[in-house]
This record gives sequence, C-alpha cells and structure tokens, in this order.
Amino acid sequence: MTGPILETRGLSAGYGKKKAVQGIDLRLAHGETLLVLGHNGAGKTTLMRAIFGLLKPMSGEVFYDGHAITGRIPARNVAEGIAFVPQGHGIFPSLTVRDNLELGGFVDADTAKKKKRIEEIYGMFPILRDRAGQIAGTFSGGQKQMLAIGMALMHGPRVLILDEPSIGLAPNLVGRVMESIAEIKARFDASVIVVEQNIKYSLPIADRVMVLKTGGVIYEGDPAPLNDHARLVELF
Amino acid sequence: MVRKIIASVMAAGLLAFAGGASAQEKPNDPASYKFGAILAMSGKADWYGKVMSRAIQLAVDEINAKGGVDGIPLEAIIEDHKSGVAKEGVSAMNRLISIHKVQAVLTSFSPPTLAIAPIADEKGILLLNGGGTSAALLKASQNMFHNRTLASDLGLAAVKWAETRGLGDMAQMVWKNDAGESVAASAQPYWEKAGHKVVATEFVELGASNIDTQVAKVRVSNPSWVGLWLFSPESGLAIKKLREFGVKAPLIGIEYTGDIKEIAGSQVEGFEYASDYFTPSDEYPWSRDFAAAYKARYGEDPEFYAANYYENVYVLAEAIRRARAKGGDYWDGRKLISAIRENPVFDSVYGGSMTYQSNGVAKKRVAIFKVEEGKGKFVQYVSLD
Amino acid sequence: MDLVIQLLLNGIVNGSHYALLGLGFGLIFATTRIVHFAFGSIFTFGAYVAWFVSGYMGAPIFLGLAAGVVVAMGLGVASYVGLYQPLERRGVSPLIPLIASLGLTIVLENLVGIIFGTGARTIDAETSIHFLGPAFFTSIHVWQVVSFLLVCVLLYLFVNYTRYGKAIMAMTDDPEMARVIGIDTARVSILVFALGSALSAIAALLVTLKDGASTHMGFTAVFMGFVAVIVGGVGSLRGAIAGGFLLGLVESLGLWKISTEWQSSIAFIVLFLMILLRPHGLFSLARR
Repeated sequence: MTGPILETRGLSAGYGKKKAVQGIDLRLAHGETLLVLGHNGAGKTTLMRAIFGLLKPMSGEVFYDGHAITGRIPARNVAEGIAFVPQGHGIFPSLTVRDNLELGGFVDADTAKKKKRIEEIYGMFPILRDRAGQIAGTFSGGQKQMLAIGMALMHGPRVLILDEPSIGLAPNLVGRVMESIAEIKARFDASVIVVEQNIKYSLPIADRVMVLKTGGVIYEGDPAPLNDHARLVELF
Repeated sequence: MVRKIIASVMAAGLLAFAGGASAQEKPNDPASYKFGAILAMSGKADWYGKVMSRAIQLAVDEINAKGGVDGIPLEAIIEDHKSGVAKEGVSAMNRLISIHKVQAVLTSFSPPTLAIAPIADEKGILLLNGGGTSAALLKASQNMFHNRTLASDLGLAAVKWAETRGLGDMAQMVWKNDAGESVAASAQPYWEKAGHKVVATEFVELGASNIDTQVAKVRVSNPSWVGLWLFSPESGLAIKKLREFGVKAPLIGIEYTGDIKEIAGSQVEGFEYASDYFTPSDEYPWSRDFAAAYKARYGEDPEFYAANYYENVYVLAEAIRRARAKGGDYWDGRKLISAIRENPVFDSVYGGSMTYQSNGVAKKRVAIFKVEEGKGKFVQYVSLD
Repeated sequence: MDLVIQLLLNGIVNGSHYALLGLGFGLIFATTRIVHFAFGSIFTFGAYVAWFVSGYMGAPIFLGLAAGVVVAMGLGVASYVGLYQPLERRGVSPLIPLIASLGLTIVLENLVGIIFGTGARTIDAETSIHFLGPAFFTSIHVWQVVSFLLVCVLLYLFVNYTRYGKAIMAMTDDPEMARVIGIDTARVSILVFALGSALSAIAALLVTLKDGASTHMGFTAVFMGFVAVIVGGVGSLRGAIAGGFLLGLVESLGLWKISTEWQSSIAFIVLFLMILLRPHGLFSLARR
C-alpha cells in the first residue's frame, strides 16, 4: 500500500484563540514507528488530540488511509482503527481491569473476538490476568500504563498513538513499555506514533523522528543524528 | 342712620361672602378613579387571585355601567404578589403609587399586606383587605379596613363549635406562618381554658408535599378531634392523609375551596369548617343579584372571597362619594380614610349593613358548615362575643 | 412504638420516592455533568400530562403513565439537544448550562400553567388502605416502593449487561476516556436525558395519584433529587439511592421527638452536615 497511513497537512490547533501548534505536516508510513519529541508546551499533546479528534483543528487537514478525517469525533476514528493512549494513565479508575479491557473494545461488537484479544493482552502483560478483578484505580503507575496500552489494543488498531507512555514510570518499567511497543507492531501489524520527552529509551525504537518546538517542527527525519549529544543540545 | 344701613348692608354682604366661602369648594375631579389591587395572580394560590380579580372587575363594570361614581369611572389596576411574596407586594405597591397615582389599594394575603402597610401609612393610601386574616394586620396600619373575618376569629368559631359538640382533646395542624399561628394562638388558649388538652401541635409548611410525619404524630396522639388551622390547598392534603392513615375523629377547619375538595377527594365528606358566610338570599336582593351576575359572567357561584372583593369596590365607591361631597381635593387616600372613619356604616352584599369597628374590622357573621356530597352545607351561625 | 413503626414505614415509602428522583437526576448529572434544574419542571409536565390522559380524559392509568413518560423523555432530549449541547460545543464554563437550566425551568413551569391551567389536579384511582401492625399505608405507597425496586433492577441489568449501559458507566467515571475508547458521548448524553426524564415521569405520576399535582411540585422534586445525589456522592447511582433513603428517613424518623416545625430545615441540615463531614458524599467514586 502506497502513501502514508496517517497524514496531516498544515494542521493548526490550540485552545481559545491561542494556537499551540501551527502548520504541521506529519506523515506516518505503514508499519512505521514515528517518535515525536519536544519540551513541555511544545504542542505535542495538542497535535495528537487534534489528529485523534479530541480537539477540533483550527485549520489544516488530517488524512487516514487516504481519506479526510479532519475534526471528526473520536468515535468514528476508533471504529476505523485508530487508538489513542492519553497522557497520564488512560484508564477508568473505578472499574475493574476486566471491565476496562472490555471497554477498550467498545467499538467492536464481536464478543468472541474480544475474548481472544483479552487473552492475547494477558499474554503480553501477565499481571493484568492476575489482577483481573481488581479496581484499576488501585494499581501502581506502571500497571495502569500497561492496562491503558492493553485497552488501546482491544479493537486491533492499525494506528496506535501513545502520549508520553513513560511519564512517571521507573526506568525498568519504561524499558518494558518500549519493548511492548515493539511487540505490538509485530503482533498487530500496527503503525505507531509515540510522543515522548524521554529520549534515551524511546530513540532506539523509532524509525523516524519529528521534533516540535513552540508549536512548529524543527527537525524531521532519521533518528540517528539525535544520538549525537551536540545535535541534541542544539535542538533543545 | 345711613351709616347704620350701610354698615348692616356691608355686614350682610360680608356674611353672605363668608358663608359662601365656607360653602362647597368645587370638587377637584380626576379623569378616572384609579385604584390598585394586589392579588395572588400567579403561584400556588392563584385560585384566590382569580376569584378576587373577577369580583373586582364585575363591581367596576357594574358601577361604570351606571355612570361611575358621580359620573366619573372607576379603573382597577391589578398587580401580582405571586401567592403571597412580601417583596412582590412592595414592588407592586410602588408601581401603583408612582406610575398610576392610585389613592386606594385592595390588598390580599397577610405577608404582602404587612409589607405594604408602612408605605400606605407614609403616602396616605387607603387599604381595603378582604383576604388576609392574620391578627398582625390589625396593628399594621391605621389606613386599613378589613371586611374579612380574621383567621383567629375563624379559629375561635371552630373551637366554640367543638365545644358545642362536646368534643375533648384536640390535635392541631398549623400553617407555619402568621395566619396559621394566629389561629392557634386564639384557639389553643380557649380550648385549654375550657378544661381540655391539646395533645399534638404539628406544623405544615406552605407548599409542603410531605406531611406524613405530621399526620402520623397526630394519629398517635389519639385526639378527640383535629383542628386544621390550614388554608388551601394544604388542608385538602391534610384531610386526605388523616383519613388514609386511620384518623376517624372529626376534622374542623377554617376554610373550604375547590382545590381543597379536589385534593381531599372522597375523604372530604364530613369535614366541618368555620367561614365567613356569603349566601345569596331573596331576603337580601343585593346578595341575590350579585350572585346571579357573577354566575352569569363567570359560570361559577361566587363564594365569600368574591363577595368581599366585590363589596370592597363598592365600599371604595361609597367612600369616594362621601369624600367628594365635601369638595376640594377629595381624591386623596387620607380624605377617603377619614370619610370611612366618620361614617363607618356601609351596605354589605352579605345583607343589611356592616360597621367598621375601631380596630378596622367589619363585624360579619361567621357560620359553621359541613361538607356533604362535596358541598359545604350551612349548619349554624356562631357568635364570637 | 406505634409512632416509630409508622414513621419508619413513611420513611421507606418517601425514601423510595426520593431515591427514584435521585436516580433520575443523578443519572443525568453523573454522566453529563450538567446541573439540569429543569428536571423539576419536566417532572411537573409528566404529572400534568398523566393527569390529562388519565384524570381529565379518564383513560386507564397505564396510558397516563405512558403518555407522561413519552412527553417527559421528549422534553428531556429536547433540552439537551436544543440548549445544553450547543453550549457544550462552544466550550463554555459549567456555570452557563446551570443558568440556562434555570431559565428553562421558568419557561416550562409557566407553559404547564398555560396549557393545563393552574390549580390542583388529581387522578381518581381505586386505592386501598392496608395495615402492618399499628401502621397504615395505601396501595399507592406500595406502588412507590415497588416501582422503585423495579427501576433499580432494570437499571442494574441495563448498566451491567448492555453496551450502552456500560457506556454510561464509562462516561460517569471519565468522560474524556469514554470518548477515547470510541463512545459517542453525545448519543449517550441523549440516552441519559431520556432515561432520567422517564424516571421523573414515573415518580410524578405516583405523586399525582398520592397527593395531587400542582404547578410548583417540580421544585421540591429537583431539590430532593439534587440533595440525594450530593449526599450520596456524585457519580454513584448507589449513592443516589442511599441519599434518597437517608432523606426520607430523616424527614420522618428524624422528627420523632423533634417538633415538625423543623421539617423543612431537616433536609438542609442533612445537606450541610454532609458537606462538612463527607464532602464527597457517602459513596464517592475514586476520581482522578
């Protein structure tokens, strides 16, 4: 299949009258892992929310699989195979692990398929199986993150967007999360966008990198140059 | 000699002149006699506003059809106190005075009446009350006259009736406001002085929807009878609940309206109450003609609220007539008030005439009624002396 | 002792009524975060429509109930789609829908008076009176408790076993996450407005049968529903039920030895105590 699976052209979005990101052209190729880097306030989360539909763009367009989805509510995007793991534990804190996973597959009516999928996710994150009846809000940060990722996988997404999945996690857990992203790509044939501030752990899994600064793109391309410390300092 | 004649002629002339000066100044007539009426036109008690305004309009139209008062028409300006909100009454009063320059206001419901009383005193406005029944109204203003029996007197009539019937311990359900409490304040001491006990006193808020607790407590007190010091529609609810919860004792109250009947449903049978008694009779043609005219125009028989407000318009008209006879700037609240005080006797649509006492209340007859087949049947008159 | 049993019974009956109101109001509030004061005037509309069909026109009561429920649902959905949703879309502060709701309440209340006339309304129904030891209750009281229980069961099944029921629970817990997993929150909002209004119409019919309807009955209804939800814990349907029963029992048993002069204050006192001692209510959800 030619052409990017997800693409934005001149996308601008913000809150009230203020633009947080301006004129962004983003391309996600099939099977690719795109790493979006930038400081706090660079506009990374705003960009993801505008793509996914949680925020209405001010101008520009978003394309998925070749057709326009600009400003569509998330419900349609999820039904067509886009999943989003929001920053800070995208789970339902007062429901059980099992209920959370089932809700993750809300758009899918096929119960048998969902049961299978839950088993797969338990395979990836065994702790979720052990604690299936526990209230999700009582989990530790790392466990919540695994649940959040598990939820996002429930409907077998073709595009998975993760917003700062390592935030607040201990280093060994961060490694685990990055590993699982690689696993996801392999298992589900998904294309992934990872938004991160933590370069050390995320750079290794990236196929391409995009760096945002104060609402604009300042670098886009191969991850290799960013291994060079000097280059990093220059950018950040 | 000539000087004497000139002097006496001059004296006679002076006398004639002086006499002429003390004879009538020409009356200073307005284009129309605008008066206000502050009624319950909206809210839970809007039934009262409906019947009062109808009666007022009927009286105004009747008087104007006959040429008005000495040829000058009456004009009623109806305002709304939203079922007894004092603040609304004050706003209405201010509007009536500043915009319409009324000299008299027909008022209703104790709270707004108490609130506008100081304004009436200050601006010299005549207040005619045919509805509010709280005893506090008596002290509120020197400018107010009532053709409605005070609630406390109705309560007194009710307990006297209970005494006549030989009843024993009383439980009372009381409207939690001035009017209700004034009834309890007159009924309770009388009953205790007569050697009986008050076994329960339960309060009911205006607009209350849940009076189950009060009813349960009344039942448990095992009274010989229950005094319902409540008005429409709460008394209807009380009657229904008391009967449903198994209270078989006589229920004696101080009012009976369409809403009470509607809410109490079939349980209303046997309910007794004290009330101003308006009944048309051939003995008093005015009463008969008023009832017929009201029924013809509005399709319903008038009850005493309608009679009172109809009557008040005629009292106003008569007061105007008496003041006008003195000439000068007679269209003034204070002049109207002194006209009434000078001669407090007025024709009453109830029959015969009524006299405003020094406390401003016109003594009228109170009667006891019993509900039979949904209608209040006259039982007997009660003397309040 | 006789009094205590009667008061307990009254408390359970009235508690069922308030719990039903709490469920209706709470469903809307927890899911959409909208303080829908017009819930009260829609309640009134439900009562008057039921009166019109079963009282005025004399049709059987279940038809009056159906009519009341249908009209209430229609008004509830219309208030969301016509008033609250456009405000939501513009991203206004939560205060604005609250003010709009007050305006809507006034409009609807006046409309009831204009359409159906003011003045108390009752529906003639065959009611029987029963005893439980020394305590009395009527068949309407029984219906109040039974319909509450029925609603509870149906609601429980709906929320736990249907797709939209689960969507409601998700939205109640975290509205943004609900959007993230692909729930059309606008559609669910419409659903809860319909459901909540339907519940209010059921309560309204029963109250009309029991006490009669009046144009201002809605204020008490929404106030009690609101207090039940706050006391029970926002976001918790179980809490709304507990709050409702607490109110009903306090209004009756709470006045066992205290003069009924305090009745209207009691609800406020409970509310204040709750806010002071347990600001999140009896059953508060863990919130992020």
